[in-house]
Amino acid sequence: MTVKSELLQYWEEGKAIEGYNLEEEDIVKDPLHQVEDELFAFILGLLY
Amino acid sequence: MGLTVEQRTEMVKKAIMCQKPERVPVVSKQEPSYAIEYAGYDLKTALWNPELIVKATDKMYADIYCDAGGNMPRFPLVYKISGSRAFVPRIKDDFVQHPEVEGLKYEEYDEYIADPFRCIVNTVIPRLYPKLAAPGQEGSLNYLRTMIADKQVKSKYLAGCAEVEKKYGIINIRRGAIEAPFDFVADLLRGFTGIAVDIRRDPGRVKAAVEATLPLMYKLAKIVNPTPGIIPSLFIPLHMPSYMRTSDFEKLYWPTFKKLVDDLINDGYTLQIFFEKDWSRYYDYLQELPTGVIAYFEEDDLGVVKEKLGKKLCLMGNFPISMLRLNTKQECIDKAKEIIDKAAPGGGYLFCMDKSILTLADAKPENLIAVCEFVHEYGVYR
Repeated sequence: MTVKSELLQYWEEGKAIEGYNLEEEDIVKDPLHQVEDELFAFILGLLY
Repeated sequence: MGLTVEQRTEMVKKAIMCQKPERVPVVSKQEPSYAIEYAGYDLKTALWNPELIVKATDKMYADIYCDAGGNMPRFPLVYKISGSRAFVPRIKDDFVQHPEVEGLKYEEYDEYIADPFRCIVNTVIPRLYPKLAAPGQEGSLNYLRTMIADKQVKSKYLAGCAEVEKKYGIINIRRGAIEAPFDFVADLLRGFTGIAVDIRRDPGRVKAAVEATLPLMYKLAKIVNPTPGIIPSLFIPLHMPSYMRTSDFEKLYWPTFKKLVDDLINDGYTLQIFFEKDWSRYYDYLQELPTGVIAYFEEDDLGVVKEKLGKKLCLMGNFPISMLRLNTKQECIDKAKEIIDKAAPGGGYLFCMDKSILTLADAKPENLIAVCEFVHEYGVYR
């Protein structure tokens, strides 16, 4: 079960987030995803 | 006699997993607003000052026995800054209430189903939190203000409560909350009135919207409670089923809720699920739920529930807080004994009230103190 939204900037398999290179995935992916996760949880938290 | 954190952790874990601990654990359901009033603080002042709520909680835990607790108040700062129409601090004391709202219009179902998160950001939030959609930079700044406020008050509150819990050896059995997918669509998106009409006129779209919400709730669970384990549990309050027809529940509510529960339990979580109102129509469904669920009942007779569900689910709740307000101390103790005698045999039971206690008017402290001490003394497995 995954959440896909055009507003959430998650790293897709073989495709870097805009502004980053595939080669730096190991370094930048997790920190970037943690930011998206917090953003997602904060906004949903306004609705329950 | 006070127990150590280790003893309490062990007995709560056993109870949650339907085993027999040394004692019946006593779970506190006093909300911070009760603690504030009990400690003699002004409600509005304290709701704006997490450190004062922590002080009040300290006083409450010093006087009122419990083994476990855990809650998260709604802070008016967050809802004032964001201009919320969904959660509104009331004028007299800033206690946050939630009026009926419609964040999503009927004609916006398809937009939601296609990309729920985008729809929430673009359509629902601007309607329910207009300040966050203010033109120019102001909207972005208000988002930041709201997020900063949320982080500030919650981190102060949680850190303070952790210290107080450590002082009294009380364990926090709850971390994070999510909703059943149907309730998420019903509560703030369509509203009670809207969803009631939708169920009849367009069940297909309701089903699609609920199914689109399932991954959001699953993802949310992982973020708000990032470390699966027996404790702390995720909290899921269930709102709509007691107002639904059983056939609608079966088609529209149960499938996504059951999948959410199964997947989270498989991932190693336990879930404190609040079955609001009367669930007796649904026991056959609840028998399908796995061990790892703390079934927190409001109105259901725990004797019946024990027989139907007690082998798989840990039971909790059902002590009527109305008795703490209206009855004598002895009558309250007699009721506690009656519930323990029905629900505790064999283990898999946590003593708790039927709902949260919000204000001093809900429960006379002398009755609450007497009941909690009685349960601690009487609820010993021999």
